[in-house]
Amino acid sequence: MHSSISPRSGTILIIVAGISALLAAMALTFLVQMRSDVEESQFVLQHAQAKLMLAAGCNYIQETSRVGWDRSKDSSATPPVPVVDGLRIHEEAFGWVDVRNGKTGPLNRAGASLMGSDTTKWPHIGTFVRCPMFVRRVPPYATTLATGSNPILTKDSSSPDYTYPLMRYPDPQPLENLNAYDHASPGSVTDARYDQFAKGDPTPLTASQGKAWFRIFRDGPATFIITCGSGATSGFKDWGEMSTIEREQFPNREFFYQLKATELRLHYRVEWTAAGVETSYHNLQHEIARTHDHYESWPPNASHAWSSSRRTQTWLKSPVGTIRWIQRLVTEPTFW
Amino acid sequence: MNRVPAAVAAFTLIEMMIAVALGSMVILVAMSGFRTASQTITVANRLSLENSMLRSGYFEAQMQLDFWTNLDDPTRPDTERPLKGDQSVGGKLNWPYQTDRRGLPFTPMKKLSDDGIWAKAGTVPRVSSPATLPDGSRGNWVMPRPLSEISLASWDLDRGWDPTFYWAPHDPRTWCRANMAEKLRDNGGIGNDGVDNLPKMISGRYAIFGNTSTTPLTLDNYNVRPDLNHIDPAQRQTIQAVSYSGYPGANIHSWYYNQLNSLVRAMGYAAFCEYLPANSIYTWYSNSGDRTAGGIDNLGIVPWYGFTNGDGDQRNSRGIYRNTYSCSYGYINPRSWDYGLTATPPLSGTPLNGDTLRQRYYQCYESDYGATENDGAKRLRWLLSHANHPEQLLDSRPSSWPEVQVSVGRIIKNAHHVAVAKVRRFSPLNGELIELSWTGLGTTLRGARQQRHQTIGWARWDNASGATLDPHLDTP
Repeated sequence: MHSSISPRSGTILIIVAGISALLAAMALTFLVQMRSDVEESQFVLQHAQAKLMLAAGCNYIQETSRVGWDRSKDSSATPPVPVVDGLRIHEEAFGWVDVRNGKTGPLNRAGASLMGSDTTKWPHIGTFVRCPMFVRRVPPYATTLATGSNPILTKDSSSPDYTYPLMRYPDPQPLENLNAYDHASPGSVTDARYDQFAKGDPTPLTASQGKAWFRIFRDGPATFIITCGSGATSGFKDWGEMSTIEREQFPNREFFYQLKATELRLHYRVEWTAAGVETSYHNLQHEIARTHDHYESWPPNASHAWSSSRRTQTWLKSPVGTIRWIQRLVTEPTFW
Repeated sequence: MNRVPAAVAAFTLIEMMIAVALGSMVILVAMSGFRTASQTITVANRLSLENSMLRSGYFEAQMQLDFWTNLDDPTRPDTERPLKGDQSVGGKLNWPYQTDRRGLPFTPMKKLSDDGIWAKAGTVPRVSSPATLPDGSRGNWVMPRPLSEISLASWDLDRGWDPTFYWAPHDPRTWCRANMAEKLRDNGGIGNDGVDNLPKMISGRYAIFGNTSTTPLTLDNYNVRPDLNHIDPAQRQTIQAVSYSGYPGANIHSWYYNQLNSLVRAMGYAAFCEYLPANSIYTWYSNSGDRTAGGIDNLGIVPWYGFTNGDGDQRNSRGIYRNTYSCSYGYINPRSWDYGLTATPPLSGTPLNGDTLRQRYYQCYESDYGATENDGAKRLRWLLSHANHPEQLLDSRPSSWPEVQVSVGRIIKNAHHVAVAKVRRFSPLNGELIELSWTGLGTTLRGARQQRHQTIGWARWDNASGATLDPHLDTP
């Protein structure tokens, strides 16, 4: 029998196969290394997100020292919500430590607690609040950046509005035509649609979910532990902490702990204080006259700094206080 | 088995030439592909290494932002912690309060008290054990006190650092009873620009009801021309001496002034601003030391007096913005090199230490219009390069590896407490420099001091009711 395959034919095949295998191995190594780099870079991203949550947590503490305890729609609230001109009002608080008397806040104008009667619920001392972060499709009171709502007519000189600033439309306009004013049909602005404008669309953008959260534990009148998380546990400490309904957002216990294992958590202690001030003010020496005693201040770079920008000291305001100090905790605290 | 005759199996010349040519092309292409792949792998490895080093630099910077380890490593003995001691500045000329002992940012409060810099006095107790909260956790010990408690006279007589004290706006002892308009007037009681207009302390002498002293004292005399509108011009010029002696010391407001008078020497000027609330007025009436005729300590009111800047020749009380508008305070890395503020940076040097290091923590540095040229610009360069002192990420490395430097600098500018992190990567192959720079949010000085054990190491802290709490640098 004649052999149809020459033994020399395999040489080229072996060489090509060997080189190909070498190239494939190098490519695989390259890909593995790149994947490793990406995974390590992911940790950098997580860390940055967690630090962003520290800023968010501090902002939350500052703003809720004054606002956010709105009971105006709760007719059963205790104590009753004050009524002004027949309307239940939005209540303002006066700090985590009330600036008027040093009592534990938030308290309303009459000095009544805005914390609710259940002492196991936020914001009572010894309780926590969870704040998973996501981007809403439309935030409340969203306005559009589109300009030119009130163009000056420059083409038709016969128009009575020629070259006049019209100011027909409120400016800025609501985003996505949520109750935007139309001069042709002014009736389109309605109370019902205003509610829509006020609420926006709270539907979370899917891509923004499960990225980061913060959680605040109040351990004193004005001291807090902020836990900053970068991951998808939504700030739950462990499985046992969750209610049955809360557990439904995770497929099962093992999945939750898998998320937890890949999550970064940083713990900080902070102290809030009302002893802040609008930072751009300073008292003047030479702005008015060197030779006179006066009590006026100068707000450089402030929005109300116009040409004659001197103000009395009553303009020095501290709307939401400030954070007195921040301490990263070396180890995870037992309660947070 | 039939075999093919050898002569038949051989290549012809044409076949050989074609085969060799094709084989060469295959090998060349393969070699070229291999070389390219190899170079790609090399470059990729290089980039991977550089990225890895940058990431390490980033995390080191984040560690420094949260733990201040670039300024003070609590795991080292005190001899290797230059910012933990306290001494006088060593008789330097033209230096305010040069003979006073001063602390530095990591000097323990207990040492500051023991050495008389910020001594504890009075009968106000420090809360020793925080309350247990309903959920079983231990509460924080920073507690506001009720008005009934803080209105007692004994509270105003309290002295020294109290970590349990909540510096609250409702607390009367935290109120600075200074006349914001009161000016340091030169020229014998007439206006400091030479115009004969208003007398000194036209709104009253505040030092008699707010002072560091609580005992009756005789205040400095000063001259006034009391009636500038007198019908007789000659009477307008009649100078009269104003004196106070033996004014009542009881019930005088003294707590705020004593806090500032001590804190200004406790941990450096940047820490002075950081420990005081943001709305503090940097004015305190005093019965001793360098002070104006009105009794205001010069440190808070005289232009260019170490703590103060000279912008506008301001001679009245200031807040944090005014103090940090044209000048800044900073935290100087103790391993940065010692050379003059206006000298050309040397190529090598020895670390700052002793009196010079302490002085650098007790001065302001031009950081605005005065720093655009000449010596002001040099002093700003000095501040920035010594606050953001770049340090090697790795003590030793292969010479072909990239060099990574990390620094976190902290300064106060226009009332903003800024922490600037920088990570630099040099490539030894092509000299390329990449710098990541960002302002970070993290632990503040008080937080960093609470992290550190009073002696050595990190202080243990937990909020479990039975947990051990170690004494830290702010434990009195």
